[in-house]
Amino acid sequence: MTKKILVVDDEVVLTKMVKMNLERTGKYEVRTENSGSKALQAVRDFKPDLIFMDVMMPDMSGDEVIAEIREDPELSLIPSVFMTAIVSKAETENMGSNIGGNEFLAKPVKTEELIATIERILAKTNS
Amino acid sequence: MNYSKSLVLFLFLSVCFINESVAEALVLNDKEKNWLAQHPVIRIAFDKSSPPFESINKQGFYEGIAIDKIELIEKKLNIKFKQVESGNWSRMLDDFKAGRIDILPALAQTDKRQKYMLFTQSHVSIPGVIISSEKYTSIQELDGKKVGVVSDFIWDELVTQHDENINIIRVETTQMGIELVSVGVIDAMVSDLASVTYFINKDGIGNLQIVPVSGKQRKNMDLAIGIRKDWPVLQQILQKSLDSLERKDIDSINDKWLKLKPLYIWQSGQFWIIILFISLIIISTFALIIYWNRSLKLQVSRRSKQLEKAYTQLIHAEKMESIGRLSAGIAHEVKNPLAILQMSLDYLKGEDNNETIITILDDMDDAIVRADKVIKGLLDFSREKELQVTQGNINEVIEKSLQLVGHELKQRNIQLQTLLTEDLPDLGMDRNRLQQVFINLFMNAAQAIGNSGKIIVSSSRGKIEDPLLLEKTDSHFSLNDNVIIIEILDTGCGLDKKHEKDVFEPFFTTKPVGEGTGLGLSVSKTIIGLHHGMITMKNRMDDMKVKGVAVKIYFAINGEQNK
Repeated sequence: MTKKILVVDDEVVLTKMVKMNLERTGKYEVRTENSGSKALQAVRDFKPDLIFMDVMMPDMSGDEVIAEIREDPELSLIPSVFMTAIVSKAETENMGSNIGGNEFLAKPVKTEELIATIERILAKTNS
Repeated sequence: MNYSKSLVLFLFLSVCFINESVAEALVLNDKEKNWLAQHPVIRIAFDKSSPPFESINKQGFYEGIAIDKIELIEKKLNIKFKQVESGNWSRMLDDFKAGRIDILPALAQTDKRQKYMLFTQSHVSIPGVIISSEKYTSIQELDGKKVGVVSDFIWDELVTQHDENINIIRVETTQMGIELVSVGVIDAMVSDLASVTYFINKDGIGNLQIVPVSGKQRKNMDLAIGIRKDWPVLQQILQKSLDSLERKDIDSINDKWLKLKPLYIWQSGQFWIIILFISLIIISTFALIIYWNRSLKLQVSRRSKQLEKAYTQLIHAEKMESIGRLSAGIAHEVKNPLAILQMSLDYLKGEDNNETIITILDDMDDAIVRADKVIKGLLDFSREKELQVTQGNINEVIEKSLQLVGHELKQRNIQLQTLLTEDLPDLGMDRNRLQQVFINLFMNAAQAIGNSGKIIVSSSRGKIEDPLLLEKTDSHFSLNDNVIIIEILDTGCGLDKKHEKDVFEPFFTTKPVGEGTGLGLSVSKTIIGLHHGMITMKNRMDDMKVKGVAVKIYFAINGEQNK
């Protein structure tokens, strides 16, 4: 069964490339959004298994979007991973436990790293 | 001058008293001439200590009124007395009595002496004077006062006889009495004018009145030449000689020995006391000014150094902040394109490529990793300046860091020696940040060594002992602070002397392009600074044969850290 992944980033090309890389594996169905507000709607319509969320976006920051999702009982259990350009990897490790148990990935991320993260989190959710 | 009037008076007196006779031509009769011819040797002795009459000067020559007069007589008679040495005054009299001395030049005529001595008429007659700071003119006026006299001199007798109410202080010498009057211990001194004049001239005492004793007690001290009893002819000859002395010669002798010399201001003791006092004030004022000046200079230089240091720190802080802001901006703007490149590259790698394309894609992948590394380095500046502080042992952090670089050291065939002191006190620290520092320093050492070498890591307790250390680094330490010292020595290429100052500057690097961002040491210094520690980097001094770098890190003990 393909897993549904929502990728949110204001960088259109980036979301497109992530979609292409993930979908090529045949394991995932990927939807991309390029703003926070559209992402909220997409979560409700698409009901993804996992969200990759950029932190700094023009209309609404990634953590605000996630905070709103957490308030919706139906959507609150969807795991999310922040992708950020301003923190280094070492810092994402330190901050990981600080913001609602969300994972952080520092850009640039390799595809294999993305996939490993998805598999690890989804394995946890299923069990 | 206080005694100017007295001086005038004295001149008058000296004319009146000392020699009243008019000079007569010296004509010796045959008997006298024969006598002189028969007595070629006439022995004379002088007293060594009766100035101004006779005394011995510093050069060992006799001088005084009596000596000058005897010389005049010798000229007149065209003879030379034979001078013989004797002892003090009593000894001289004994020698005279024993026939070892024939004449004595100046002594008072007493009944006792007349028994064994003939006398000429007195050739020196000195008036008695009262020396005081007041102007006493007679013995009566000294009623109830403390009056000094030289014991057993005629003046003692005079004062004692005439007034029982006088408090007589007997002194040993006229000089001593004058000094006592001068300093106000006694009220007056009675003595002869000649001695007084002599000592006042000699000692430069200027605050005293010298007044001749007037009234009934007026008395002179008369001195004559004494001749052995069996030589009456010589008595006649000497008397004739004295009578023949020229007025001008006598005046000249009196002027020389008795006249009060005009007292110049610098001859007064008071003058020198005032000069001394003024000099002291001037010297102490100068000393004070110099001291003040020096302490101001010191203060200025200290403050200048502090300012300079603060300025350097400010510049550094501003530089860091600018870099921080810039880095955060760059990171955001560069990391997104890097992410796109990475994703695109990943996609291309998944396609069916020939070998050339695969190599190119791998190179591109490496380039992205390198670019990302630079950005990560930059991001260290935009970090929060807060530490996640926990208590811990610094040795553990060192060991963990060494473990993480162990592989690198092995690959480069670098020998590792650790000398970690056990029982070091715990420090408040951010382990991750300090680990970052140590890894950075170990990697620097390894890169400086290249292949084959040695790294020595030690930790110990110590004190801040070098004041230069505090001047050169912007630390919070003071001299003698207790510290933990971590030292990392390598056998690498060492520091170029001209770079020593720059190693902690951001973007300073001597590594080849692509191997270092020039931020590692700068970040390390910032992190150590956040721990209120201090880091220094110098070429090794322990052994001139070993090249390499010595890094020292100081952490405060006694809860001084993380204030």
